[in-house]
Amino acid sequence: MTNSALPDSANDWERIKDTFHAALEHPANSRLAFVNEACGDAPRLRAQVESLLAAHDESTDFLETPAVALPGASQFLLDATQRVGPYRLLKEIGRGGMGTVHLATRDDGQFAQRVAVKLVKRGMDTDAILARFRHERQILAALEHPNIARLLDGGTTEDGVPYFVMEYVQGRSIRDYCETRALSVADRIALFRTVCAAVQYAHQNLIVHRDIKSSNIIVTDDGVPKLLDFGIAKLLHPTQYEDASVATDTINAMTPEYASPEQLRGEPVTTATDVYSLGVLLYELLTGQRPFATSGLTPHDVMRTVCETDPLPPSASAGVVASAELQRALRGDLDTVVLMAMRKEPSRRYSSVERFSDDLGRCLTNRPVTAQRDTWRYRATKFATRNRTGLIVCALLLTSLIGGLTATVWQAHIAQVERGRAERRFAEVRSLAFSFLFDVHDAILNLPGSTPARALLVQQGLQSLDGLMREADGDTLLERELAVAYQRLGLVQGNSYNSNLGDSKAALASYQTSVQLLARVTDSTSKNAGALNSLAAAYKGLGDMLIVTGDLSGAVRNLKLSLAVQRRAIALNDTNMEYRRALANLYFVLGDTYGGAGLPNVGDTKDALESYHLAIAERERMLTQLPKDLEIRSGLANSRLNLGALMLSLDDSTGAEHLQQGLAILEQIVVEFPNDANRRSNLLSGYLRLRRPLADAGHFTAALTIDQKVLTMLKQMVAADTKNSLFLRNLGVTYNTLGFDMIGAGQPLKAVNEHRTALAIVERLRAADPVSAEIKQDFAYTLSALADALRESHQYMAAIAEYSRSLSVKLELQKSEPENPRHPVDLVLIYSGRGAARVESDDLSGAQHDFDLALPLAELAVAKPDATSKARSAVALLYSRVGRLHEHQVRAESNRVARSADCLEAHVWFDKSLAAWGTLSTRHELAGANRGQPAIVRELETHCSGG
Amino acid sequence: MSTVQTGGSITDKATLDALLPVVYEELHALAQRFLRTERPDHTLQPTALVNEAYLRLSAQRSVNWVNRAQFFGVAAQMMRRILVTHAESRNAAKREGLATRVTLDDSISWAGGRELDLVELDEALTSLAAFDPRQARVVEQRFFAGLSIDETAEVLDISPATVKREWTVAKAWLRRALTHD
Repeated sequence: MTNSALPDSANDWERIKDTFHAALEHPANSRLAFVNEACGDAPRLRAQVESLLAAHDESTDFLETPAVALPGASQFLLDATQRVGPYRLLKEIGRGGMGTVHLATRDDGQFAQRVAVKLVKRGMDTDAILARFRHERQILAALEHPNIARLLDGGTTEDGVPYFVMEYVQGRSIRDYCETRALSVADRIALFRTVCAAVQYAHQNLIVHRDIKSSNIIVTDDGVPKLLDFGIAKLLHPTQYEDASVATDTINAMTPEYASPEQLRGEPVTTATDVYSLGVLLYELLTGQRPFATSGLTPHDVMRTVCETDPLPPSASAGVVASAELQRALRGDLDTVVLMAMRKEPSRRYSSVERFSDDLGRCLTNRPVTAQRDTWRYRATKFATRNRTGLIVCALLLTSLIGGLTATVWQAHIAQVERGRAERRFAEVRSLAFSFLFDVHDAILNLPGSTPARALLVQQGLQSLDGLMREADGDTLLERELAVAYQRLGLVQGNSYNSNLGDSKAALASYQTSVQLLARVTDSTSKNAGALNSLAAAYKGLGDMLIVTGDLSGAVRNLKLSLAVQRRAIALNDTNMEYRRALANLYFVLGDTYGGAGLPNVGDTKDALESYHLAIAERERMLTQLPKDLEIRSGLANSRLNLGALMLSLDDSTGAEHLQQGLAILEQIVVEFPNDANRRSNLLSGYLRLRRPLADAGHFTAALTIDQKVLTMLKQMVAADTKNSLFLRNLGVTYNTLGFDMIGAGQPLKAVNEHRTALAIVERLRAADPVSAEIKQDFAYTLSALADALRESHQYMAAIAEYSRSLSVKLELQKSEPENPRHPVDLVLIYSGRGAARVESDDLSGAQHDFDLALPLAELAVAKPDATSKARSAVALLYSRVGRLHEHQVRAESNRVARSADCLEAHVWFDKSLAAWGTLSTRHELAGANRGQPAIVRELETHCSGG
Repeated sequence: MSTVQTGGSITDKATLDALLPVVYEELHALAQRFLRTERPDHTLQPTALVNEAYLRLSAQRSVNWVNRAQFFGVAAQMMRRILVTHAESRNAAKREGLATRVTLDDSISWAGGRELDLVELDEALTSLAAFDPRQARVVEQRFFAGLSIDETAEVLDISPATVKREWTVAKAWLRRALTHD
């Protein structure tokens, strides 16, 4: 279009229009003449009108079809903005190395929510990205946190470009936000700690962010920070650590200013990587500068700067721009905390984001921080040791797995035929190894809330392993490493020493597979300490699982096999602490299985005591070398607790001392690790063991205060990790204990409620794992405890019904575990409880029947030389209840002679009962076992003297 | 709600900007549904489209449209923006050699076989609006919103004869502007 087409003024235009319309009134052939005449003295006007008339002649159809109705316009309208799957892109809101980010909305005919769509740049490895996305999407989609922008969807566009759909967050980057609002140091730290909580949450769900930076954290106008792109970096570049030579290529993919030394070097990325990037972010928020200036540097120089030079302390860096107030606030602890998070070696940073955040909290409240400055000596030696700092055992094992397979692949290069197979194998194990190396990190393993994510991991792991198993013939290294991996799976599936999924059947199978694999590569003359150690661990896992499923003699057999093999491994290499840890743990578990108090055991108390003492001795020896080691300390605590409990149950009151010592260790550990769920669990069971002597001595009010403490802690733990069956099981146990102590404290009605709560929990657990004998045992116990409470609150019919239910479960258990000495004693208690309830409801013949069933079992139980006090008190209780039956018959009988006979019979049973009580030598056992027994005797006196 | 000019456009730019996304999304959603439910060779009836959008918006949104005419004013401008924005991005892609996937026939041709460049048309229309805003409104209603002469008259609150006159001269002017380019 040219300027000549424009009229000079509005007046001109009106004249042009008028002349144009007037000309149109004329027939086509006389229009030009008309125009000539009308515009005689105005050549510009004439030119305008003439050209318009010419245009008019050509414009019959011009613009007559509305734009939207033109051919192709339907699509035109739809494509007015780009569409991606069901999403319509509204505008581009960001652009980076990975691709572009668009504001978008979902086309479903409604006013849909706005989302952010990340379109991956063409040229990236599309198939791999999508495969990883499918692999991770469940975990990522489950990441629900108010400070994390959710990953909503993902897929490919019609032309095959991968995209991710995320919650759209409107706001500004965290750094911008802090600066435009001129936030104080305290406010900046508070905001930053909110971010930390979100990262911590993600870590619990096994997601490492890998690309934390200011522009990935958007703060809304309401001041709510939201983390973007969780898990995305891994989807795009999962293999940046695989091969050091590719590390430089991926520098562009991450953000070099925030990247940790290990990321730049292409080493494993863990939660510690996020700790580092958070450190950089905090540095930037506090000082307005990034710790390292990397712009314009070559990748090599970036790596050198980040990996080898120390940043200025924030207080010194802030000096460039910040106020004196800011500098003062930074100097000291804050400097130390930021620099600790940014240490070069992952293992020397904060062990979790939470600890980092906690230390910042201490800075704000002027309490001493846990971070320590690098010492001069440390600085002098750190270069020498940099690359040797500890990776967790699991990481090492699986790194060697990758290493082994890499070698396989290399050899296979020679034989092209083999190559495809080997590569596939490599890829499969690699994917498993990724999961383990970066997801089942020990730090995460012990965090609350991690069970569901680990469940997913197990499924993925199993798939990879099954794929490998089919091709593993003859490859002994692979078999051994697979065996180890199967043990890890067993651990997550059902090993009750850890948070687990409660699938004991699957766990048992995993350990069995592991034993089979290892048995193939080790024989009786094997000198390979590592392989022997693995085999010992496999037997141990099998033993653990057999305990869970109730095959106790099988468990003892496997544990002893484990012990023998473990000793061989130590004989070959007695400096390896891991072997010795395993040995001490074996002694401990053997102690439990031989005769652990309150635990399913084979009734061999002598061997149990000896095993516990061996465990304690071994652990104390190790502590002289590793005095701070947590595992050894808590192991020692547990050994003492279990020994103490066993000694008390065998009438040795010095056991209480062991209990107190054990508890003191556990309390100290929980103080050091307030958020470690398993350690809290451990302390809880310690409390419960302390409660026992209190309850046994009849101090039920004191026992109840412990119960309430335990209950509160457990409820929190269950709430934080609802899928954790171990916590849930402990919660059920605690409700039962609470009910038991309430009966003791004279509140049987309240107790009924507690037992009903326990029952509901156990039923949930049973539905989830119907095979577990432990849970079946819990079920039987809970039913009989409920029945006891009902009987104590005079609801006899209801009590009889629950006793009967308990009985059928218990009989079933006894059938499957005929050697377990616990079952006959429990049966005595249930029969005698039901009999007592029948006595009270005047079903005297029914009661007689129950007692007839109980008596032979009872006499058999106490005939054993090592009969427990539980067995003996159960018998004493039974005798007194039989006496009570005869006492009722006295009242029911009208015949005077028969009455005397019954009275005599009652006397005989009460005498037998008193004699049985007498065999319980210590006061606490008497009190604990015989609540209200003297009252029964007194009542008897009244009745019989009257008769 | 802001005041309304004779031509039916909204004077308060901020209000218009706030409303545009609403109309925009609604038109898109409707176009989608029309296309999914109708036969493939169906051509959209823009009036029906805009009418329904109006009904839905006035029923569902807390927007107090002064009247239907004002809504059509906004809708027509919206249509124009949608179509022109798309044309711009497509042109840009062509310049950079990136137009890898052209869907169906996304060029709009007009008599004479020449492709109508919506971006040029938009520029010309903007020039026209500078000295004759009412004529530009007429073009928006007729071409972008697909209204008839009578409907346009109703929306712009002028006589059908005036619409016809303005339409004729606007077409000629635009045609000339595009040809002379």
